[in-house]
This record gives sequence, C-alpha cells and structure tokens, in this order.
Amino acid sequence: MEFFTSSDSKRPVRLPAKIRRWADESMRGKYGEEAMKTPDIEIENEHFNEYDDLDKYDFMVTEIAKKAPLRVCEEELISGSATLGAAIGHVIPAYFKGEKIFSSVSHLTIDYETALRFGIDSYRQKIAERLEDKTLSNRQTRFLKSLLNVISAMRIYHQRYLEKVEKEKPEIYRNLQQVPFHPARNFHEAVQSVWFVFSFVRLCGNWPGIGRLDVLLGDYLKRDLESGILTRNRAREILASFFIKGTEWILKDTPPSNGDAQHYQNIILAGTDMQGREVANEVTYLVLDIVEELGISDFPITVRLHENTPERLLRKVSKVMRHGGGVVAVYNETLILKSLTAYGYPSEDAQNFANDGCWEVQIPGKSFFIYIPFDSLALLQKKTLNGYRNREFSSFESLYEAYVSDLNDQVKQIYESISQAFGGPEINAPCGEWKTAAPCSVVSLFERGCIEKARSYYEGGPEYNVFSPHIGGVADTVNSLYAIKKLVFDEKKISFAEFMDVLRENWRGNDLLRSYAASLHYYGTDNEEVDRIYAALLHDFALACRRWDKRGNCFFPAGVSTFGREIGWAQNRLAAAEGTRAGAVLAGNASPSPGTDTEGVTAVIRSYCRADLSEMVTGAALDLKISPQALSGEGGISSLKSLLRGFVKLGGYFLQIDAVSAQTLRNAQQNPKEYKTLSVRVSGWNARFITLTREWQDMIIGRTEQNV
Amino acid sequence: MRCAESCPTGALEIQGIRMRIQNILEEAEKDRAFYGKTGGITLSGGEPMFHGEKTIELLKSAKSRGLHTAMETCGYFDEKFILPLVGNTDLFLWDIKDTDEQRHRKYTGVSNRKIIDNLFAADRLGGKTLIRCILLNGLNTDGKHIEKIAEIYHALKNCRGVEIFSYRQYGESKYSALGIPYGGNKNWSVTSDHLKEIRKRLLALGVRCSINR
Repeated sequence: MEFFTSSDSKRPVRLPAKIRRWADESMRGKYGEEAMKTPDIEIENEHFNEYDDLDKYDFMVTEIAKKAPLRVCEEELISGSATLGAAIGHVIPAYFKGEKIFSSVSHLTIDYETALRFGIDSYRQKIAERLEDKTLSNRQTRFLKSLLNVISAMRIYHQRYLEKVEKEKPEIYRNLQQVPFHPARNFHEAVQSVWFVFSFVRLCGNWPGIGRLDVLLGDYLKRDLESGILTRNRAREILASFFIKGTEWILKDTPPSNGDAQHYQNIILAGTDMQGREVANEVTYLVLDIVEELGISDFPITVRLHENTPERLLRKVSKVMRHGGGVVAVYNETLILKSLTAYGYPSEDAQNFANDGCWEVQIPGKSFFIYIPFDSLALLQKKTLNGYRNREFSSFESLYEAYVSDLNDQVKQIYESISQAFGGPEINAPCGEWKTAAPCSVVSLFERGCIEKARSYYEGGPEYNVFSPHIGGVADTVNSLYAIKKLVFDEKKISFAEFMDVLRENWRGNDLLRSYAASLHYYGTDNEEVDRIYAALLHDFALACRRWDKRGNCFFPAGVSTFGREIGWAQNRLAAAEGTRAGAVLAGNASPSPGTDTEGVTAVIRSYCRADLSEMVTGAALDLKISPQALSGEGGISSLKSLLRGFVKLGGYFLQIDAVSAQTLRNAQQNPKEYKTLSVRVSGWNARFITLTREWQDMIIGRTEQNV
Repeated sequence: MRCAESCPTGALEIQGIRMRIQNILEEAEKDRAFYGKTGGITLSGGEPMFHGEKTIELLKSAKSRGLHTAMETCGYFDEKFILPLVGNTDLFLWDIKDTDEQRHRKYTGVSNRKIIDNLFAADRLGGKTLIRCILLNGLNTDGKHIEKIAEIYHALKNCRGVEIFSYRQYGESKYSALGIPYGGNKNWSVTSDHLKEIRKRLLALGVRCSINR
C-alpha cells in the first residue's frame, strides 16, 4: 500500500496495515460514494411550509438527527459521521418536496473547547440563564430556544449511536457515555468529543474548521502518557481515526471543478502561549506523523512559526512538506500577533488566532467572517486608465495618485454593499441593526457571543464581526505601474498616449516593445524599485480600509487574495503594460506574476516581505512551487528549513509550498487514473489534482517550478 | 575576452560576468536571512585556484564579513597559497581523482603528488577537508584505490569524511562548445548499487562516507 509522494524519500510506515488499507479505501471515495446514495432527508410534514424560518430549521435539524444513516467502520476508534451527501455541496441535507430549503455555513472555525472541557450540557445552563432576561425580544427568545433544540437534536443522534455501538464497539460506547455532553476526562474521550461536535455540525450541512487541535488535545495526551494508560502508538491510531474519517466526503469520480478537497477542515499547529513559550506537544508531532504517512490533504494544516521554533518541529514540517500536496503551510506568528494586537484585538484573543479554513486569519470560536474580493488590475486598466482611452497622465506620481483614488472608491463601494446586505439602507448599518438572516443555529451554538447577545451567527451574534475586502491582482497592478513608469516616464521610450494605443491594440505590431516590457525585473526579483511600488500599494489599500473600520462592532480589515479567481478574471483583463496580452491568466494571491520570478525563491520571498504585511490583517499568501529534486536528501531538508526561517525573519505572513514537478502534473493530466490520490495546493485549500478542471490544472502547472 | 565583445553578430558569448569582490559579497549577503550565522559562500568552478591571488582576496573579504567559506578544488596549485588559504577557508572540498600515480598521470596529464602533498600541508595547518572521490567504473573502482583513500582519510587529522560519486557525462556540452573532442566514455558510469558496495567497504574500513547522487 503506497500513498503518493513527490519525494524520493519514502513515506514512513507506522500505522497497522488494516488502518492503512482503511485510509486508502476512504481516500479512493468509498464513503463519499455511500453518502451520495443517501443525499438528504425528505421532510414528510404537510404543515412544513406554514412554519416560520426558525421552526423549519429546527424541524430539519431534528429530522436529520433522527433519520441520518449511522456509519460505524470496522477500523474506527471514534464514532460520528456526516453521512448525508448533500452536505458535500454546502447545503443543509433536508429537502421538502425535493427542494433544498436553507444553505449552510462555512469559512469559520467553531469553538470546540467549551464542549470539550465543560460538556455540551453546560450550554443548557447558560441558555437557561439567558432566557431569564425579561428584556429579550421575541426573536431573541425564539433564537435561544432554537439553540436548545439543536442540543436536543444532538442528543437524539448521540443516543442512536450509543445503541449502535454498545455491542460492536464497547470502548467507543464507554467514551460516548461521557462525551460530548460531559467534560472529557482523557485523550480518547477528548478526541471523540471534538470529532463528535465536528461531525454533527457537518452532518447538518456546515463546513467548520478545527483550529488549534494540538492546544485542544495536548494536555489530555500528556497526562495519559505520563500515567501510562496510553502509548504513543495507540494515541497515533486514535488520531488516525480522526484523520481518516475526515476523508469521508471524497467522492469516487468527482466532476471537474476547483477541487474536491475543499471543505475547509483547517488545522493549526504550534505557536506560542501568552508567556511566549512554544506550545507544540506530542499531539503536534503525531498529527504530522499521520499526514507524513498517509498524505491526507483534507485537513489543510498551517504551522505557526516564530524565531524560536524548535529545530525538531522545523525539521518535521520540512520532511512532511517535501512529500508534496502542499498539505502543510506556515504562518509567521510573530508578525501576525503584532498585526492583530495593533489592529485592536485583545492579547488573549490574538494569541489564540486560527483561520477560517483557507488561510484568512480569524479568532476561532467567536468570529463571523466574510471576505469581499476585487480585481485591482481590472480597476487600473478599466477605471484609472479608462480602458486605455483618453487619459493623459504627465507623471508617474499623478497616475499612481489617480489609481489610489480609484482604489478608495472601490473600497467604499464594498463597504456600502455589505451595509446593504447585512444591515439596511444606512451606510453605517452593519454596526447598528442587523437584518434578519437565514437560520444557522447549529454553528451559532458553537460561536461565543451568540448566547450572550441572543443573536445568531449571521445577525451580529459573534464577538467579532469581520468583513474583509481582499485585493487581488497585486503583482500585476504593481508590474503594470512599474512598466509604465520605466517605459514612458523614466526611459522615455514611448509617450503615454502612444503606449495607451499600443495596449488598446493588444500589442499588435509592437512585439519588440512587448519583449522589452517583458524583460524588466518585476515584483518577485528583489528589485527594490518595483518593490517600493508594491509596498506603497498595500499600504494605501490598508489606509483605504481603515476609513470604514470599527464602526460600531464591525471590523473592516484588509487582506490579499485571489483564491484561483485569476482564472475567471483573465477574460476580463486587457493587455497589461508588463508585456502580457489580453485574457492571460496572471498572478495569484501575493505571488509574483507567472514567469517573472526569474531570480530564485529567496528573491521572491525578499520581494514579498518588502511590504508591511502586518497591515494585511486577514492575511496575504505567498505560493511557491519547488522541484522535488531540489528537496531530496538531507540537503533538501536543510534547504526547506532555511527557507522557512528566512521567511519568518524577513517578515512574511503566510507561505504555502508545493513540491510537485511540472512533469508529474502533466503525466497526471494524461493518465488521471494513475494519479487519483495526488494532491496539490490550489489557493489556500488542497485538492486532488485530477478533480480540477483543465484550466485550474494548467494554472498550477504554470506556477514556476523553482530550485533552491 | 575582447573577441566576444567585438563579435558583430554575437556568435561568441562569454559565460559568466565580471564582478568586483565587493559586489560578489553584497549579492551573497542578500540571502543572509535564509542561511543565518552558519551559512556563507562556496567557491567552485572550473578551478577557483586558477586565480589563486584573487580567490584568496575574495575569501579574506568574505571572512571579514562573518561569512562561512568553502572551496571546491582539485588541489593542484602552488604551495605558497596554502597558508593564506587555510586561514580563510572553513572547509575544503578536495578532489582526489586517483591514488595510483601512473594512472592519474595517464588520465589527467599530471601527477597526483602535488595534490596529495598540498592536502596534507593544509591539514597540518588545521584546514578542514572533505575528500571527494569521482569513481570511474573499471578505472579506479578497484580495491587498491579504495584502500588508499581510507589510509589517507585516517592519516589526516581534520578530515570530515569522504564523498563518493559516479562519473557523469555532464562535461560533454562544454567540450563541444569549445570545439574540443570529448574524451569521455559512458561505460565509466558507476551504478547506484556499485556505489553502495563501495560505501560499505569504506565504512568497514572506518571511513565516514556518503554518496553524492
């Protein structure tokens, strides 16, 4: 049994054969297939349409709990399964007359800690107390009761499992008698508790992230190992159940899309505590062991690094990274902590940061988060330069100022649109009265602030409500501005008006000029001149967001991303001054434009780190693809470790590295059946390469393959 | 070099660029964040000691900037360089192509005497070395050469180990670019298994040995 690797080093074999077989079956789609056979529960209730929203929702959740198929795999050491296939499509899997009713929630990491340490029954107490408040509105009261209904539904589902496992799985039965309704007392119960909450929330159609799994489970494992009631091997097997069961939504034959493994099941590892001590523990290493062995990519992992990250951890991360699949990425937590506290988060919350499932940083268990993307290159080309018509700029400074003014208008527009969507007609609305939104009691239960405010996740309940404009096309905007500066204003190779004509004509008849433009040293080559423009642009974007920030209780922080939109945006883009033609697929996230990173990986990182990335409060991701040959042997591990250390030292934010050769990917395009489990890092999530559309595949192949 | 500059159609190309020592080191230092206190520069080639004085100047400058220095060399240079070299080089990657003097002369055109003498002189002055042994199948893969390598390793005081690797046909393109007939022979390639055997033999002789793929 072999799990795919890009490295010439083999994946280790630590787990028993039958668990490895189980992993392989699951990764080939066995359970996803099963789930598609039972996609949803049909609501059989004549009066259903007469109910109001919350009644409908509560009814649906209860029906799901009563009727969803139960799955207990022979090899599993923890139980609970999201067996209704419609959830794989981001919908609550309860239909009425064949129609879907409500959508579900994703892009959040819920709170597992309360259930883990205090038990789900502790929520009952809190809600009961809250209900005593006479000043609650009807809707608030109804909402709190909906939360109680969710708990009751969970009880029903849990009871069904108890009955099922009593005979076949006595150990799981014992654990479930305690968790998740009461506090976990040992590691096995702790893993079961977290898993049960996770799988119930998913069963109901939502896509939650996990967050800091090692922080959640570390103490339990430590105690059990010390007292001798558990061995490391046994602990690894229990965690392996968690990981393998997390692949239950992989389908046998996924129709081509932007990747099947994107259910945002994020995990964050390591980092420091409030005293600055490294928190990485045995759970951290066991999680990395499991990913190293099985190559499971469904839980994108990000490791929080700092200047004193232990060698052992850095080495382990490097060893796992070079197997490919981009499963493990890294944060520079030193920068991020500075960013979050400067932004205004209290230190304890900042210290605990996780992400939403891709890499956008958020405080787990208490944040509502959405991001709003826009194409900065299209803004420059179509607004500032008016489609390359009739705009006479006499200096680079006046061009740049005009662009920044348009950038500010764009951000204002975003603010106004979210005000409308979440609040009402007033500009300041999201932070005043929230509009009534679709029910989402299941996730609301696990988001702090919702019970206290007696409002749902979508209606301002969580402690933090974050709306983050995300700028995309950064590299190309910067490059285009730079090219115009050089060609027109510095070197005077062509007048501004003439250059506009050339670009409007998509470079037709101007190949020599285009070659010259393409030969400049752009963002990603450690060219200080162009990097100054990059730094200024991100800073001005941060200022634009600051204008609308913190009105009432709403956060409006800046972030950088494309998440693969560079593919969709391509057809909307004109020829760019940097030498590209209309319709070209250009840079992703904060990475350099394809083909321009000619000076090697260290130069890319140096350029990327020239901006003050702490102003991009929800994140800015750098993607690197490194050839597996460059990472082989001890030298390869050494190289990776150096890259990671340098990344932290220079002030990076988030780095995702994939080690797959372009050749392997082209082979996979030719023979998809041979490469079923080959995973790649797409744009913040992982996907099995063969499930991507041709365009997405080509985009990933196109990312320059670097040597170190 | 003027031939390339004056070539009207650019048919003649210089491989490489001229740089001042200061600029070389500035370029190297750009990556300091990545290699930290233990990293630095490695001089390679060609043969760095072909430009003995300039090379030593470069190494001196690098050391004064706190960079770690390493140099790959075939060991065939004037002994007057040994003292300043050892003073400014943290690690020598020293080639020993063949311990059989006659065979060495036959295939490289020079004796191995000076190379080995320089090696021991550097070692006596405290120079740290890593011996690099290119192996050509059927030529120097005999037991005798391997045993002599082990002897040399043990006789040295500051040798960190021996790295063995197979002959590769890589030089062919350089030769054809220079218009010189290539005297190589692909039968000289040593298989992976054979390299492993030779490594085993060296380990058994008490030598720290690794294979360079």
